[in-house]
Amino acid sequence: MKKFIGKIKWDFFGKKSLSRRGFLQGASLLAGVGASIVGTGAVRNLSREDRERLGLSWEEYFKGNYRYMTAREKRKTVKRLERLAKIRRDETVRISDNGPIEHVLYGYAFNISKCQGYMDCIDACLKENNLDRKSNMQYIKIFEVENGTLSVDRGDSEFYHEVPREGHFYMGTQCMHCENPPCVPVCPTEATWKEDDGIVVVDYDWCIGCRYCEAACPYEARKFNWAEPVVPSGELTKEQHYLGNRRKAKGVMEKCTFCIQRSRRGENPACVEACPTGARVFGNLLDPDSEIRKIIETKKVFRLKEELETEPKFWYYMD
Amino acid sequence: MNMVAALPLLFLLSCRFHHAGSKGIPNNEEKPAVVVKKIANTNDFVPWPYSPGNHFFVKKVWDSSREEGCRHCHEGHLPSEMFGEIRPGAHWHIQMEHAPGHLMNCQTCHVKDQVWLFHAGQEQVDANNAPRMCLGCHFEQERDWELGAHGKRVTGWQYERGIHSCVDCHNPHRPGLKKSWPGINPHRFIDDEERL
Repeated sequence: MKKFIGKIKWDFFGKKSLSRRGFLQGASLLAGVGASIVGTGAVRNLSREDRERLGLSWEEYFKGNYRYMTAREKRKTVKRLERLAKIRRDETVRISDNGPIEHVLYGYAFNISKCQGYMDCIDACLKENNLDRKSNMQYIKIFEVENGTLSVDRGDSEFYHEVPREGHFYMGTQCMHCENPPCVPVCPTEATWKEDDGIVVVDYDWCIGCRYCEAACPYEARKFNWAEPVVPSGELTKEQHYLGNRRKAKGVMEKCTFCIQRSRRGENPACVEACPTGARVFGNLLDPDSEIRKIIETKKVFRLKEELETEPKFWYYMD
Repeated sequence: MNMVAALPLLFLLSCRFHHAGSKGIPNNEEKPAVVVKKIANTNDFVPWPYSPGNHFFVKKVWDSSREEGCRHCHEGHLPSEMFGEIRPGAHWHIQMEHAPGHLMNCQTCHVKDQVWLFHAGQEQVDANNAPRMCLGCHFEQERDWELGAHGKRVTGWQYERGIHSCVDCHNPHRPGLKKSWPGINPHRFIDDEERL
């Protein structure tokens, strides 16, 4: 402990203005002290479980940005979150901290000739990713577009009638996981970034909810939790990822992560698995034998708003 | 003397190339080390034998151990259930909406009193290789299906490629897809206070 305190530069007591690093070091020390107070039972009249919950919440509150955590810190926060889920809501969840797989860059292709607008993808997505049931949140939108136009602006994403409708085609949008994501540099807290496998992720605990990224995204891919998200415990997906489908709080941003909890296990995202028409294709862009590479090589493909040079890894193609 | 001067230069050059290689920058000659996992349940798939050089698996349509496989093609009614015994001619309930009758009829794929499919009336084809029959005419879909632009992959992206057979999505007797309502209402939940 003494060694640890000795390591901290006490800059913020000196002439220099308070640096972010210094603040964080101070804060983490405070957090440790607080946790030990709570943990040793200095707070009286609380049940053992309440004390544990308070201690864990305190440590969670002062943790760092996931992007800069060491493997050990990642494991610890994941364990804390699992325990908190058990104490707070009696939910047994498994939160993964799987990192990117080497030699993998995820890409996605969407066949606009095949999609019939059944919206099974949206259903699967909201169940898999534990999306807020109350505010009607959905990462995926399916636009019903009249034949002869190729513009989502004129499409209707709130249709509910028998599909496919005569003279229309269907076009799905979601996060395109751009190679130059415009949402990332605008974030004032570095709460969002692009992982090595190309997935643009959000650290929900580091997000302050300023919604700059929502404004910066040209694809309307980012969704904001205006209220505490409601997911009934019985409908909760228990296999979770820290950067993926764990429960989010009020006032944070969330978005499609290509189902990071599934894709990093080698499985397909829930939307791909649910699509009854096979209009959705997912794979590794670095693998020359993958379906996605063969589609890009042999089919007519385009991407949305290509002129913005965001380099989305989401291709549309047609038969 | 020249040799002595050239040696450090060679050493430097080799370091440079080694460095570029170790960074994993993909170039045309070097294929990245892609890990492909084996399909766990190989009983559900058969390897596709008809396109050499393109190795993938097709989901089984039937299996002698599973009755639902038989129902898949017999459209729910097994001959033994209808007559108490297996006998020919039990196909009155099957409606054909495939191609016009003068182009296609039962004999296009089936041969009387035979359980196998017959490609071009001669080549015996197992139902698990049913796409062999379809691709005889639908050659435009053949390329797309084999490369992955048509049809659906069943196995995860990191696993060996296992895809749906044609008949998993298209009923061979009525291959057109039907209209239906979307699986979810975009205006769902909003007034559903009680459920939450």
